[in-house]
Amino acid sequence: MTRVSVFLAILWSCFLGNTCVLADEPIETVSLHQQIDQLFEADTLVPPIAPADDSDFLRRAMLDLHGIIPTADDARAFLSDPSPTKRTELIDRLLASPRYARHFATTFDVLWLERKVEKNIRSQDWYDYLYHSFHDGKPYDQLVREILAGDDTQTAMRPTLRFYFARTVEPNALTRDIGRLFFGMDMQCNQCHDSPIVDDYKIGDYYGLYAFVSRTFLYQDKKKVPSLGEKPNGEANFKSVFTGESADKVVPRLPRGPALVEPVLQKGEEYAVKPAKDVKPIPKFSRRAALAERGVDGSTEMFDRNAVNRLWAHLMGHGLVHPLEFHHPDNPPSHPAVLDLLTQEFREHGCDVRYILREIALTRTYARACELPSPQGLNAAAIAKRIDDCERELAALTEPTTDAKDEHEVRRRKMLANAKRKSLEEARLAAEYLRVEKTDAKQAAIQWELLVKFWEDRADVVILKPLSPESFALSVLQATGAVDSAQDKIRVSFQSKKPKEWTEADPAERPRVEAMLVEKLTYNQFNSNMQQFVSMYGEAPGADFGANLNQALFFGNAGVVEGLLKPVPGNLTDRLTKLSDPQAVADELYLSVFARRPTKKDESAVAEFLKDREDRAAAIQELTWSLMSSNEFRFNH
Amino acid sequence: MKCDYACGTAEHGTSRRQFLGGLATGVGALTLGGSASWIPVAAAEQLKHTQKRILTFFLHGGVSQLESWDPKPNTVWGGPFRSIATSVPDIRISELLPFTAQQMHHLALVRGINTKNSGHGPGTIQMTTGHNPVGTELPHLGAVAAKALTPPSFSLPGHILIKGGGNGGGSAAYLGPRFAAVTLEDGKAPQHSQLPETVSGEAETRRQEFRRSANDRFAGRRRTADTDAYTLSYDQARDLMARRDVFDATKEPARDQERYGQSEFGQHCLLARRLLEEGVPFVQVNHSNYDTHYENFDYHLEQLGEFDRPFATLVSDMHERGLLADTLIVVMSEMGRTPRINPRYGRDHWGTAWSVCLGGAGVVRGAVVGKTSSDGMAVVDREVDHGHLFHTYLQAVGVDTKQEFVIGGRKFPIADPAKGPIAELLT
Repeated sequence: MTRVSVFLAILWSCFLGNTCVLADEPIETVSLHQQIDQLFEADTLVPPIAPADDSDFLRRAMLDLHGIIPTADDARAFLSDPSPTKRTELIDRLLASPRYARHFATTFDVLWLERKVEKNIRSQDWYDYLYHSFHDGKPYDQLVREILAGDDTQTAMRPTLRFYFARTVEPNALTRDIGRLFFGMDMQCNQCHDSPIVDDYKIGDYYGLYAFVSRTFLYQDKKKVPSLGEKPNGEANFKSVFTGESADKVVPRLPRGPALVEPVLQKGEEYAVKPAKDVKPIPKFSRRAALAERGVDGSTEMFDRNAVNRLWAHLMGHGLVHPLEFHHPDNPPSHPAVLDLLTQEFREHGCDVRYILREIALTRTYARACELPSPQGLNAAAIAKRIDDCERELAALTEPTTDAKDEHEVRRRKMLANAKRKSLEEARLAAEYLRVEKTDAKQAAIQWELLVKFWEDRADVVILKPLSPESFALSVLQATGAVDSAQDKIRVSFQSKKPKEWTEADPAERPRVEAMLVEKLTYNQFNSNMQQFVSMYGEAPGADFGANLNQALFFGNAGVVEGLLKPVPGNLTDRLTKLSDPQAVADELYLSVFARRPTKKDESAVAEFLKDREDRAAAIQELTWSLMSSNEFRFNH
Repeated sequence: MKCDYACGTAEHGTSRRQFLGGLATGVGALTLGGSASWIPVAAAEQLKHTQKRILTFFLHGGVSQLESWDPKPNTVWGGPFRSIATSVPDIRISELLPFTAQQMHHLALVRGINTKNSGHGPGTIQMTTGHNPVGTELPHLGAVAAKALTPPSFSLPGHILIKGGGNGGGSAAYLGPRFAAVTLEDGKAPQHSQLPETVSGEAETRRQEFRRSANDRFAGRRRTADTDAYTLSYDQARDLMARRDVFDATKEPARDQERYGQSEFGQHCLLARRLLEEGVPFVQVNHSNYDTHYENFDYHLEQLGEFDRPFATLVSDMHERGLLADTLIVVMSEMGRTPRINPRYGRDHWGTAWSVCLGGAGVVRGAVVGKTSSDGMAVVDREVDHGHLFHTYLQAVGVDTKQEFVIGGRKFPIADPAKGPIAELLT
């Protein structure tokens, strides 16, 4: 982190009315995760929440970074590790594993392709492209640049065309999705008029982005191989169906960014390759290439803010700006200073996804327990001060300024004022609770509930994240021992016959190559299980959690889970059936399914369940099914 | 085996056997075998005025408006069939629908539909979602209805598709899988609604009990709306399994079996009645296939012959049981068929001037809205499209279609904001 950014962070902290805690510390030692915690904690009234215990932290980090729960052995090893830095070591280990690349390829495939059907490009090629991008630590800006460029002159880039092809190269579908996915602005309504939902999104914003992609079309060569063509001309025009406002020849403009300056080309001089029979024309100036370059280079902060907000949401279950696709002044970040800091650090660290994930995962904020805080921890003095500070700062922010002409500044002040209003709302809710706390127990309970709801709505307390369909499938496979057994078989098969990739690799590289191969083959083996879960549990991305009875019928009766519970040497049912002591059964069962040791209550419930059961294997299967169908398993907590 | 007269698109792989199977029931006396003598009045009474429902029939492939709701006998493209009088003095429909004609006073017709489209895929999207295809998935009418009409504690699925051929699954899109169609393939109970053979009833009780107690223990740490919803889903599944008989039309009295006939479609109509009586908010019955590029007249004779009597029986039963007052009925296709008869005695795809039949809740009975020209080539009065129809269906059951669904913080209009309902058709 540079001196300037620390200085900014300190300024922020002072501006928020906190003591400048950072000022006395030597700059070099303040890492990003510490700064995030300082900013976050200074900007919330949530009473202190205990840190998550090792089991919860391990399971949470595994699910977030690998998309799968830990095995019982993983859990035992982590719980018994006395190292004070074991959590940092865990995060680093997880980020270095091929499973990280796998999970993020899946996550971004679902995010960017939204499970759209295969069209012209094999889904697998696109998926592999993402996998290698995350594996190799490709900077995020480069990744998106490649996708938006849609340039297939190098074979290695051809899979990126899936982004365009899956949207049938239709400019409105592309405008909508590029706006949402890469700039955090859902301008769907603005195709026909200014948004009735978001004041800040205008029809002209939509067409500014549209103009970048409207000249792009699906080109097929004489062998019918599809690629992207682009015309050198064709203008974006619009007319609002509400107001009649219109514009011709809209200049391409990035969302909240600069307008594109285009070279002036004489008529007849527009082509690098002129159109002819069976020849793909190539314009001298490509607007699509300009979007790919300028969109990701920091010209518009929306690109960076969207990226870090999504990474935050991936780990926290909720964006700093939420919904994720509505960045605008009336929907301010819950913690503006944290978002600013992350945005800046992201660019300074070369848009390194692993770096941002690592730093967020190392925060105290990420590592809080899922329990709600107790009202006793509310700090009356801090609440009173917050009210004063907010009122004062709000007055300052809403005063007319000389910068009124600077659109960016106006928008920013509006956004900060709205954030301040939310802070004030929180403080007043808390103050009201304290006012009635001693005198009116009933009213106090209602007031506390309102406060908790406020915190849950902006994820100031830990959010329970439902497992994605893929993670749910893999976690069931992991808990029942199917993953371990598949990996073992693959490793054994490697001993008798080394795969080509292994023999061809540099000897020093071989362990890494082997780990990658084992991971890949294991994953492939469970593809159909995952697809089954996707078809049952797959929600539209960003949709609310929706549990339904079809899913419950599937989990209980489809035979899929039953199949995994059949005793096979080494699997969970087999291991548990061989244990005679109910306490040992409970221990192995809870470590395998929940990555934690059973409580006393759990132990006695298991003992009670097994008592007098002669069909022990059946009893074990019932127990395991029960735990895997429970809330503790379904959610990442 | 592929249907040999269809246009050859993937939407229409169905077997010839289904058509032949339908023949037997099409011919018969022009009465419905007497009205139902056994009516479980109590159940129907209870549901009356409590909950609105929608029952749709989707005639796959595109039923010909000229052989059904908008006949033009003795005109250049009118075809060989006559029109017949109905129970509404001014309305005449095709002679292929004699039983339905007698129920016309419960029904209404929209004859001026122009969807400006002539493909199966786009037509299905238009008619089931109320929108033109936009590249992203949109929720099916059934998902919208289920979302809007299902009572919170309802223990059966809110959106049921009784499939008898024909494609389409009833997607819920952004409304979430909770409202996606539960499909009854060939009229059978929902998938996975029976315990696996290896799990006994006692084992099921034990494992569900342990699941609940595990959930109770976790609730001591944290409880949210999501954890409650997840817990509830298992309880709903238990309820459905316990009520699996609801999906079994053979549990209906023998007399009704006879009245509806043993054809697949007849049994599906009886099943639909059973489900509506249980309060299911949305039921769609598919009937396939009407994609008559060849021998349009023979095939409509067969297909509508199979459709007519069970459909009319169901309308009549629903009226007598008091269900019709709260249930909207719609008979739709993805499009109509060309007035022009092609050299193979077929009619091709046609979205320019065609019809839909509605009835029941919220609909002005015996109404006709819209008119086509005497040659059937154009709408000449009160032209409407799928957008207007979608508003109309939902407003007929009391849904305010100017509202939006809020999903994950994003707002989605319930129906196309640029359109509105066919007001004169609504009571």
